[in-house]
Amino acid sequence: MKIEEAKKTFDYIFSELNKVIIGQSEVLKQISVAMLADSHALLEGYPGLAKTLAIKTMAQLFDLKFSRIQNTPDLMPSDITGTYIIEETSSGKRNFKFQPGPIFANIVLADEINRATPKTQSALLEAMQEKQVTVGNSTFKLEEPFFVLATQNPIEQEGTYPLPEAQADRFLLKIRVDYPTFDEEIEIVNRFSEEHKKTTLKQVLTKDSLQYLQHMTRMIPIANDIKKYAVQLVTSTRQKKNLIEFGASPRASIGLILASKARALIEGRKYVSKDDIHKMAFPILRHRIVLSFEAERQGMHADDVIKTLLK
Amino acid sequence: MPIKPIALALKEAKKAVLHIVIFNSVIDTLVVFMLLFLATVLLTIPIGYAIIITLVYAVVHTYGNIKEVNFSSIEAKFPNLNEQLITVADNWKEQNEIVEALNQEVLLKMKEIRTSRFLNFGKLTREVAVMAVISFIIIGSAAFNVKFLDFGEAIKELREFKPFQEYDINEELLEFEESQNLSEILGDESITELGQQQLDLQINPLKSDVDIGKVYDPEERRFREVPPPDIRATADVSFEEQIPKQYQRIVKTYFKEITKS
Repeated sequence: MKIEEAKKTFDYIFSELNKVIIGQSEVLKQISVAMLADSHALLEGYPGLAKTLAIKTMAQLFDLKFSRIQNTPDLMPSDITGTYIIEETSSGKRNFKFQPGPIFANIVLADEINRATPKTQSALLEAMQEKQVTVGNSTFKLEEPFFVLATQNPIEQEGTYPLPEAQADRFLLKIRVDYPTFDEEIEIVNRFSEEHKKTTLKQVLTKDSLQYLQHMTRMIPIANDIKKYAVQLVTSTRQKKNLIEFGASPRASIGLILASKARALIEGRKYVSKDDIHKMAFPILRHRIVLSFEAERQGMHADDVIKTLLK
Repeated sequence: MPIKPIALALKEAKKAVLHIVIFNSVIDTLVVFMLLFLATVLLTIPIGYAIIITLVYAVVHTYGNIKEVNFSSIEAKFPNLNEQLITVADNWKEQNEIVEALNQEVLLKMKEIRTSRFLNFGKLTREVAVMAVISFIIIGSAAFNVKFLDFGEAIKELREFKPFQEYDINEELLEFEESQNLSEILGDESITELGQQQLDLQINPLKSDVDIGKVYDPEERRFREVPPPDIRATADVSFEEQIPKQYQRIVKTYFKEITKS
């Protein structure tokens, strides 16, 4: 597959997604970036902004196994990973059999992840990082590709468990889902308040072609100057002590380069540009920096601080 | 392994830009040299100073300019190669289909590189005009022997200048004396310092004992070979002036001034 064909594929994916999702083109692009980088994404936005719908629709376009975990405070780790059940054979013999949980899929939608308890959230940790699950004494390898696309909303903090930094760091991107524009909202109203037409989506990518695109992503060349610029940006989060209490880890540097490569591929470019670094710096860094008291006192958010770093 | 065409193209592009940069540096250096040369002519400074300064400038300026020759500077002149040239320069050795495709794309775009874009014609014209003007000034100043300052003389005067002389009461006294009755000591200044004016001296023939019209024949004189006994040479004490110390400088200045005139 040539890079031009890859671009056409993604253009087609986005046109299919637009049949269901109106606007949010940047969100859809960033979800694709996470998938091309073979990593996970956390979508944050207010309720009703089509976070879940975006992920569900995206999953339909890929010939991949999809599962959904609706996180609640009473959700147990075994509800995610799976558990051993007693199975009776035809001869009447009983033995333990592992019943895989919803984590055994290619695309896992962890809806409202911050509603799960830390114990349950941590069950996702091993799966996300190691791409394997340990239940009892047995370790089960997860099928590749494996993506966790989680959602959370920033309000309704009552009865929620904010993701610990260690777990948030495992998400390549934290994608902010904003309100649609006025025209987009008119379009949403028109589409969903009139006679319901069933939208059929075509599967665009197979597992193999997605894996090949992931391989292509890593092949995209990057100039040394741009690479240095990206690493400098990440390391600067550790030096701006007046605004950032804890900076991003080297994982952020890797993620920033990889995400920029993926973005270049989606846009049909054979090289990484500085603009890719600028665009990807926000979803890469916003969940990896802890703001200082001074920054919070000034009413700054993570994105404001990243903007100052980019200046 | 054969060298890839993109590697050769990159080398060629860098070489071409390097030549232009060196040419620009040479022109800049020439302007600096001509300015310094003009200064040496007008201030009577040895030309060696101008050559040394020009050489130092040439080395520093050319080195700085050569250091700035990189693919980013080429990209700055050709926006359609933006970020691609540096990417190719850093990754052309990679063996994968995307890099190969990028190499081919950049190779095609590199045909648009024109070295003339690196020449700043406005600056070049100004520099050539400045050089022409300076040349005329140099020729003119040489022809009319125009000199603003004798640098060697100025240095000599500076060396003789003693700014931190010790306080001397006699110096003050001398200054006071000079300000009071200088003409009595040194004579009339208007006569002694004629400057460029012509001094007309006339000898009054009435007061002269010389009769030019009277000419005598030469006569033979005989001198005694043995001197008379009353004439003999003896040792004597040398003459020593007993001038008080506070007036010694006044006297010294007096003799110095009258010897000048």
